[in-house]
Amino acid sequence: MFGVDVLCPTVADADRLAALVVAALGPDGVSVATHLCACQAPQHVSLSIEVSPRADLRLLRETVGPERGAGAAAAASAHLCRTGGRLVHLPGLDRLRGTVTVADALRIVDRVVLLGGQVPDPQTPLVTRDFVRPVLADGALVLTVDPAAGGAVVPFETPTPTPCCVDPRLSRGLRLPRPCTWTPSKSWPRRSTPTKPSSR
Amino acid sequence: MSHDHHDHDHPHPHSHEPVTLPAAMDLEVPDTELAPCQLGRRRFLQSAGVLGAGTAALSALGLGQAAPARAADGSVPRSDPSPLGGFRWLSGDHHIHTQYSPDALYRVIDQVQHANAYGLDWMVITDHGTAQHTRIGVELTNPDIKAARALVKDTLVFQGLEWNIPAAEHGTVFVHPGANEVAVLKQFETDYDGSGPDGTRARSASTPENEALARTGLTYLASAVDSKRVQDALMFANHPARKGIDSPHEIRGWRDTAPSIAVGMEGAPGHQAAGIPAPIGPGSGRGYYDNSPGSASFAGYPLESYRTYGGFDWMTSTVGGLWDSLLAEGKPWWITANSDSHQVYAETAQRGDQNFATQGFYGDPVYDPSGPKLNNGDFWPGYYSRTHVGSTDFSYAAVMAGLRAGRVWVDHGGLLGSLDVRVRAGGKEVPLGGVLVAPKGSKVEVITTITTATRPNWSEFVPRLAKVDLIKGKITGPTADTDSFRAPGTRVYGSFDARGITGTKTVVTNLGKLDGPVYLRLRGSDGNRLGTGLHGASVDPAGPVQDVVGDADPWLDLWFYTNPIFVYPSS
Repeated sequence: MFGVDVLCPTVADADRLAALVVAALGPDGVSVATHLCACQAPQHVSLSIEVSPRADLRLLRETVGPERGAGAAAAASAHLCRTGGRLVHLPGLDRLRGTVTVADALRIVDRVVLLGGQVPDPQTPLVTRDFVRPVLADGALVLTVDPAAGGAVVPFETPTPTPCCVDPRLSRGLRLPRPCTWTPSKSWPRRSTPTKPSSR
Repeated sequence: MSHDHHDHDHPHPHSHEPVTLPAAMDLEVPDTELAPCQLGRRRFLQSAGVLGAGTAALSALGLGQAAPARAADGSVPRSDPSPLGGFRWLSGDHHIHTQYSPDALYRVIDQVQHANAYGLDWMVITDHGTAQHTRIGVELTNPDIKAARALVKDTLVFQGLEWNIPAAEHGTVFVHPGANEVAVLKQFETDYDGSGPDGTRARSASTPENEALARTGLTYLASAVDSKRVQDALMFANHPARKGIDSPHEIRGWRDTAPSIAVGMEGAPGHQAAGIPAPIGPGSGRGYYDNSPGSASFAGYPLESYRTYGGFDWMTSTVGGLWDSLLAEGKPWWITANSDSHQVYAETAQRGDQNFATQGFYGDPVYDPSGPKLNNGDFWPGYYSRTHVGSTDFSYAAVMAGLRAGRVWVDHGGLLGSLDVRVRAGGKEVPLGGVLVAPKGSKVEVITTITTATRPNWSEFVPRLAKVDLIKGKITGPTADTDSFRAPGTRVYGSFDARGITGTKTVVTNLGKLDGPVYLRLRGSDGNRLGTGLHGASVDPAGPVQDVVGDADPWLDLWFYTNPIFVYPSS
């Protein structure tokens, strides 16, 4: 288990980094979680990465770049102890695509709960929107869902949250500084896309 | 009330911490002994008619006795002229965008003439703080506003700003019209907007330094009023729970830093059409509340806080929640309901150009023959959300005074015709937002005068009020935990069935004897969507239900909320 804190400003930035990690290491045996980190100001997002024993750790380090924040240890510890972390990648999670059932989700996560605490019927349709981000809490992996149209449920977290007002997506043609966009530093791995075959 | 005098003869469910009357409310304390902030509080209590001589004057105003209806220039307010409780209830909206915002569309006059047609008496133009607005928009908006004031005399048009609160969400800031209205807003935006004049948004980051900058900005507004550069200024926090980034201590910090300026928050956000299901609507969260915790979010907020309930923000809709935690401290903190109108549902216009970045505004709207935009999530000001302010006359100053006094109730979809709420005890009576001090043991009564909706709303039906809830909370005094968002002593005290009411009816609720400081507030519903509140049936057995993301028809779930009245026992 590795913690990584390179001061991702937002959850979306951390998701992009997580995707790079999975692309670099390959999807098998890898779990990546994001962690909101208030360990230093400004608040930011750190990652925890569980890798298979065969993983190329040099490639992992090359992918995430040099450590810049102080949240790595806390992230790794929360993931390991299953007390915190929002799973971006987890073996089997990518099977939850399109519309499945709550029962299907329960093959991957420990619990599915409706916002407010009620437990949906296992046969309830779960419209995944191809974006499922269960959260570790109290030793369990929990997917919180919202009620949705037609008696279905959807994951609480939407892939397309309404952006802040000055976001260019809301104002086509506008060129304003992007408050919600993080640019990888030069040491980041755009130049080191995994062309190298992994140790597998 | 001191600890020594605390009555131990009968059981008290409340804490035995003594709660003393705030000095500003205790007339035994002379003005000269009060700190400036306390004196300010006393002055506004006096101007609101809830202290001293004002109380008697107010009690003498019976129902049906009109306050002055006409402004000096002969213009009359736009709303129903029947004055309930001696006040003109002027309907308004403090959160409206124009072509000077990077995500909006309309001319000032578009917003003003729609607001006027939909019955608003007052409105605030609040374009986003941006580098362009700071440099260009704040000044260019002013002649448009002045022209609209001249054209539309029966709607008061304030100039304001949607402030990017450093380290936090957005807020409305607005000032009384006057020679310096632009200068003060421009200075405020330059020095204290989260976007920063360079547009880097470095001030938006959630840091202690930026939290302090927000408080300094409020102090600047207070000093602009004190020095008479502007006649008045107010700030409200907008869509406070939307992204979880207004922490409880920041909200308390704004209020405590400038209690005469930072007076409340949106109880209901705008964008109420955003939950209309696709493909006939945006299919988003009602109010665009579809977010989840981010890096700047306050970690203590539960996931429930990111959604709306009956169209209202979680801080307000949760009985015993964040709003109540402030009221339980005895802190005046008021709620409003606004349109946040940027681009309305089913709009048939489009921007005249896309040159905001270079010119600081979009070209005037032009007709768009491609058809109505069902993906827009907003309503026109006055069309759905209304903030009703009990005003002594039809003037800018009276609206601001009424807002500051908390003499405010809000509704959706024209649920009520009019409303007046009084609390009576010890031979005195105070209106919404008031503070009543009565001898311990006095009988406490809530007098609710409701006028049901008699005319159709803007969806062409006459809404029917189904029930009214009276919410009662214990005032337990200042909390040491400034991040508290629970008020365990607040619950729904009782409800009455309102389905039989037509026209105007007064309901008197007897709350028994006054044995400790309490506050009271009302809420009511069309009865369409009711469920157990987030803190259980013993706290809120039939409250608003979470709005379904992607399936929330705003017209089928209507609520009204009032601001509170505080009642303190004298020694």
